[in-house]
Amino acid sequence: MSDLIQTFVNGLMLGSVLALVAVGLTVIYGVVDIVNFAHGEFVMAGMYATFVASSQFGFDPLLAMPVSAAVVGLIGVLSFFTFVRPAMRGTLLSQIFVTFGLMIFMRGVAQTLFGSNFETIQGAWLSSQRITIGDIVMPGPQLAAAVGSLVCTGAIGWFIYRTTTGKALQATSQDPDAALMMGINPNKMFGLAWLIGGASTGVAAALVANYQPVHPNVGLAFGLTAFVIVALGGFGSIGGAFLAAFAVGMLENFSAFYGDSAYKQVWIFGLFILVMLFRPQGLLGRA
Amino acid sequence: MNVNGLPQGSSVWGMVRQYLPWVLFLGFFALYPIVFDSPSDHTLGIKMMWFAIAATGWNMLGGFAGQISLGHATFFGVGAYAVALADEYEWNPWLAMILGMGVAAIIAVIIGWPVFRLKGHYFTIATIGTGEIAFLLVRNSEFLGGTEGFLMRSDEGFLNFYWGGRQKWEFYYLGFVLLLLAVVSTVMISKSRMGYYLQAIRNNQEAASSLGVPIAKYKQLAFIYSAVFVSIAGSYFAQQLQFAGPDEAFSLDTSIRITIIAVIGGVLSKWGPMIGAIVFLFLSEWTNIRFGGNGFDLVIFGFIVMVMAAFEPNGLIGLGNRFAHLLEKAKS
Amino acid sequence: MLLEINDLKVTYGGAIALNGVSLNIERGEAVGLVGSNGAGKTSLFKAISGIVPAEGSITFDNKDLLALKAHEVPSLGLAHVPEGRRLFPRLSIEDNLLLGGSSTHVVDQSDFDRVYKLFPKLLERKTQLAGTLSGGEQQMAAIGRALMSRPEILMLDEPSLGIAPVLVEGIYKAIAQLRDEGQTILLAEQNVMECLEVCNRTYVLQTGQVVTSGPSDELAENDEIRKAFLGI
Ligand SMILES: Nc1ncnc2c1ncn2[C@@H]1O[C@H](COP(=O)(O)OP(=O)(O)OP(=O)(O)O)[C@@H](O)[C@H]1O
Ligand SMILES: [Mg+2]
Repeated sequence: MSDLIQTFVNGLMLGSVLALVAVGLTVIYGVVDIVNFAHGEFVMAGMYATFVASSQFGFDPLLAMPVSAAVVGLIGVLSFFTFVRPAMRGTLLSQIFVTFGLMIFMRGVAQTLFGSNFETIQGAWLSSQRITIGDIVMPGPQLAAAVGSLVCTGAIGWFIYRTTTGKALQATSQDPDAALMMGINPNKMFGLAWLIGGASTGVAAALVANYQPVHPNVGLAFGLTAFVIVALGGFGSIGGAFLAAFAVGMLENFSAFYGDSAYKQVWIFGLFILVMLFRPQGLLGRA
Repeated sequence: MNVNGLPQGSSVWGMVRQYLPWVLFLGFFALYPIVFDSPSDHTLGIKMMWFAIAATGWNMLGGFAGQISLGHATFFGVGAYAVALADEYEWNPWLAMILGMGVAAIIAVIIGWPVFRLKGHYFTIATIGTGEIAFLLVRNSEFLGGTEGFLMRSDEGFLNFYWGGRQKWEFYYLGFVLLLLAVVSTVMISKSRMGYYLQAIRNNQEAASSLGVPIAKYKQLAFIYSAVFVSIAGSYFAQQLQFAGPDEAFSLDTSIRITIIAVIGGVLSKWGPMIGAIVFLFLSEWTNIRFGGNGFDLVIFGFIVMVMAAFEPNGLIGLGNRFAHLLEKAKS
Repeated sequence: MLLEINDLKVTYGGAIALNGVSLNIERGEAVGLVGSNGAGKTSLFKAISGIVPAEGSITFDNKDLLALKAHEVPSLGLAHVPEGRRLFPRLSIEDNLLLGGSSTHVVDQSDFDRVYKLFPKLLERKTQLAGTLSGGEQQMAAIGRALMSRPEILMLDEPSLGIAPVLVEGIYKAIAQLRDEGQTILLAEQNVMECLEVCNRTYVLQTGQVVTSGPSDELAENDEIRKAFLGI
């Protein structure tokens, strides 16, 4: 029984982190109408930023969080204004290839700068912390990642749903031409979406770097999982992505608990394809 | 009036433009092993062949029909594992390759059923999904060699689909024949009704559908075609390397590589994948020698793909066409 | 002259939508623009708003509009109520209104009050998502949203399109009221009667050209013009 509860708690903790990564992806898609195939690599970049801040400058990963957010946010904004914006005027092929190219580029840069080894952050303050309730163990890094992600996701939600700029962002996503007629500068909104998408992913990355080693291909699993979550939740839907992230977090943990953990991604993609078959607009998406 | 059957005036230029690529490409590929005459050059040439075959196959679906798949490693893997299993159980590799083509076609139908219900980005993501599922299933299957894959030990000779050492040029020319097969069938398809339909689907699926183009059927046909040729490339690859493993054959990296090759060359032209194969090979070898195999090639490829997507979606072929237009303008 | 348009040309690919249109509006005037389907009304509006590129000249308050980006136009004092209303469907009425003014100035309660006074119905519905409103309510919200930017000139593109006659009456009442308060208005319509009634002057547009123009009552009384251009 306590095994089940432990698995459930693990699912919650994982789901919370995945939610933050996926919300970044879905904000970009919702506003800019481009799928960021490099999103996993955004996580990778943030983890490396955290690793460098910690190994070179002695920051604790928790303190490196703003650094990671700034680095990845900047990567997002820069890629938008250099390549994504011109590609938006092109065909669907251009729109897919541009972030596909970014993904390859970022992996290449990581390999060139850091090599292909696994790098682990040493001596993070959190790694020696843990909370135990009965038989249930919540290691410090994972718990902090979950809580931090929830807070950050909440902040993004507050910004988008409660502030005027956030509403302008929604307006651009719902009807870009009408937003333009209201004097909302679309490029500013697009850039802002990439900034939010990048920075929030950077926060998630710094949190994850507390307990997971970084290497140039670490983004792959995050990116794929985030795609699945965003597709399940309905592209562009923040609430949908949030719920789907927990569903995927649970699925990942329970499938590993009951079966072979090597297959956990098979379950996730299987679920994805099933949902695509019967509800292509996602769980909360609009048809 | 044509004198002596020669087309007159400006159409000579047209003829040149039509046939020049054939002469250039086929000439280049035909002469390559003669000009670059060492087993290691031939190994590179063989690599170039399987790049070109795989990218040509991919391009029928990705370029001509405009359905960007990032899951074609599955078919590459099927081809590779077909001959690897043949080696394991001592069947004939040729038969295995043909069997692999059939399996690839069947898998394309099975995968096509769910993924073609999706369009655009969704389709691409779904193909990543099917590719990863196949990868994980193979990696975790005892029967399919698990994470290790298969080391092969073919004897040399035509019947064994293998030549090593000084005889490698024969292997190269076999690849050349397979590539010709892929290109000629691509040309035939692109000139047929199917080519016309695929173009309509790429340009505007809704419009094509309202004009009565059976979209699902033709997408599926394009998928089968591309799966079959990518599986041929996979068989050829495994025979040459004498190895088939999940990370080399079934992984997303393989899908990505096939896609990069087509994109760099230009997805709207049958020559794009071939240019892409040449350039890809050249650049990756060059960066390997110059910078060591540390991922700098990815930096370059990623950058090229971004630039192409943003400014010249039809790749190097598109750049070439622009250049040719400029020349023609300057002439007149 | 508040708005002055000279020899305006708009083309889509090869197709000509506007072929040398000239038009001007004085402060405080209500000017109509009538014409059948495809005459070019919407194209003219979009050219003014900078959404489609155009040749010729458009000056507003002595400023060259064609040199501006589309998103810079509203803060000069032009508000565009687009054809088909184009509200943000998944934002509330209140938020739609807010965004109408937020990029031109700091919105305060008096902006909302003005709109709610004109369309009390919107106050009742202010938290409802715009996409769930009826067509007539959406039109009110769209006009209200445009008013939030405190425009010098209010441009309305076919406000009666697809709306039940009873509701059209209410909307035109509001437009007349705005006119009486001194709001400058440019109104495009296929609904000739309503347009002539509410506007001081009217231009008749046909296949991208102004075929006639003049005070609305003169146009309405001229039998030839009525038969040839207005179809009434
Ligand atoms: N985006 C576009 N692309 C191509 N042609 C267009 C486009 N928009 C308008 N047109 C053409 O330009 C011409 C003028 O259209 P416009 O929409 O300005 O007319 P309108 O007077 O507003 O018509 P309606 O009363 O039906 O709204 C028409 O022939 C139309 O087909
Ligand atoms: Mg119109």
